[in-house]
Amino acid sequence: MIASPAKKSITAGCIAALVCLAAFSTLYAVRPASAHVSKTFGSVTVELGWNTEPALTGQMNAAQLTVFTGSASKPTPVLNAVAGLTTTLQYGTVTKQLEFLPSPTVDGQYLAPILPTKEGTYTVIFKGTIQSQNIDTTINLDDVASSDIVNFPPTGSGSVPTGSGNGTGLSPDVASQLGGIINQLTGDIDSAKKSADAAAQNSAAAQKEVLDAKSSADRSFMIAMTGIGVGAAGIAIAVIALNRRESKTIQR
Amino acid sequence: MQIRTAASLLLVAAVSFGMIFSAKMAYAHNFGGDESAAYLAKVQEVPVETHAMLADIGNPDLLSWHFDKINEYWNANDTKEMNERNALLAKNIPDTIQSIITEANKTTASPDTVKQLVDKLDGYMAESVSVRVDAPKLQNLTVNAQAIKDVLGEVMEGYGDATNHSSSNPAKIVDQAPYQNAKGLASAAQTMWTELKAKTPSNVSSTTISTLDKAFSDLNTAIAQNASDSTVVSIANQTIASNFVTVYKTEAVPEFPMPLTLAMASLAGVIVITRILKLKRTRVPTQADE
Repeated sequence: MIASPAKKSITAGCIAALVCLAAFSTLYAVRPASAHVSKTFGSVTVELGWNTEPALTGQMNAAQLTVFTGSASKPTPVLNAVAGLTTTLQYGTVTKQLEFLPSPTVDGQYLAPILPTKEGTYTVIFKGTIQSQNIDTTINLDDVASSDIVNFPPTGSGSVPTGSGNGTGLSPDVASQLGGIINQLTGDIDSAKKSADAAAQNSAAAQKEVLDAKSSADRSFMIAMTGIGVGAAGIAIAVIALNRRESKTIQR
Repeated sequence: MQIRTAASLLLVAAVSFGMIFSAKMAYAHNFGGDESAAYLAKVQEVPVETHAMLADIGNPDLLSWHFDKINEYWNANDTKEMNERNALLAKNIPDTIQSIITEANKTTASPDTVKQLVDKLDGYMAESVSVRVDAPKLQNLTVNAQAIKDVLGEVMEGYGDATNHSSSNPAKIVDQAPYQNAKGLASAAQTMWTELKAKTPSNVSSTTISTLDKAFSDLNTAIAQNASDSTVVSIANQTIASNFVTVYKTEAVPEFPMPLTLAMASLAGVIVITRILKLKRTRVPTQADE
């Protein structure tokens, strides 16, 4: 069966269209998705998203809230915007109060630290007022993904790459079991290292506090000693002056 | 002579003890003194001065006093401490204060521009609270009560300077700038009290709460009507502070702390012994003559 030229051109057109569609989709996919959601209430606009994107489980992140008035192209940051606002983080049926603190880099931006522990949708519930404007809304943060997409080597694989024929003389089953054990041990070591780092940090902080206290005590001691010196010198001078006066009186 | 030496040594020991005790108090104060309360007070003090500047545009004498006072309220150490928590606020707060001073100091200062800057600083100061004061301390009643006491300390200082500690009633205001300061801070203290009262547990005696309500109101009225300095001090120091010690367990500050008392006793001892010795010396020739 031979295709007619008309059919050929239709097929070619379809293929071209599909290629264009695929190319468009690919381009769209690689563009960073703007996961920050904006909502406007009167003259106030609130914008919410993750501070670091994409948000992954087990990775420290923060909800980033930006509040401004005016247009998005020429925004005026709202200072102290969260003072009259109650913010709650919700995951499923579990909720937690969020504490937004001013960003150390951008006016009118506030960060609430979150360590997402599970994949899925996290919602922030806003209730209160900003610049006398009532705010009562919920905004979903971009879905949290599993950190497995960036983990390497994968923690859940339970095997160690052994190469072809593995060259160890071990059966694949034994190698697999050993791999699992090694992975477990690696995890334990990482965990222990983190604990040790935290302990070291605590120790350093405690040491700093002790040093500060010592420095303060030393300063106080110096002041006390100076005081003693001045007091003693004053009394010694007074005694000498009295003695001289007495001897002069006797001489007379 | 030996008695005198022994007495001198005794006094040296007493003075030394006093000084050392004094130094220990300073050491304890460094760690026990509530920096959070001091910061909460600062958050009220700075805006009172900037708003006074806005009101005093065109009056260089009053502005000059406010410039000095605001530099006392927000100094390099405050910037340094803020920088440990938030670099942006550590830059924005002193920069905005400086901009207010520069703008207000111009011969053709624009009240609108100054107001914009003052409003901006109000925002920075307000949002700095959650950065600088940890949440548990922010909710702590003692810390909040201590902050009010700190503000009242400034009220008393300002009003004393404004009236030259006059005992007349009404007192003559001899310095307008500290009067504005005292008036603004008394009002701020009342607002702080309203917030503290809302957090106060219901088991606190309603009589005490009413007494404090009346005291804050009386304080503002006394200042507005130029009451004597002692009236203002009495309300702030006795009625409010003493009730705060009972209800919120704020630190009672003795008028004469122990080290100072010891040092004064030592000096008095030196004077008394010197006088006695002098008297003895004057009697010696008389006895010899006999």
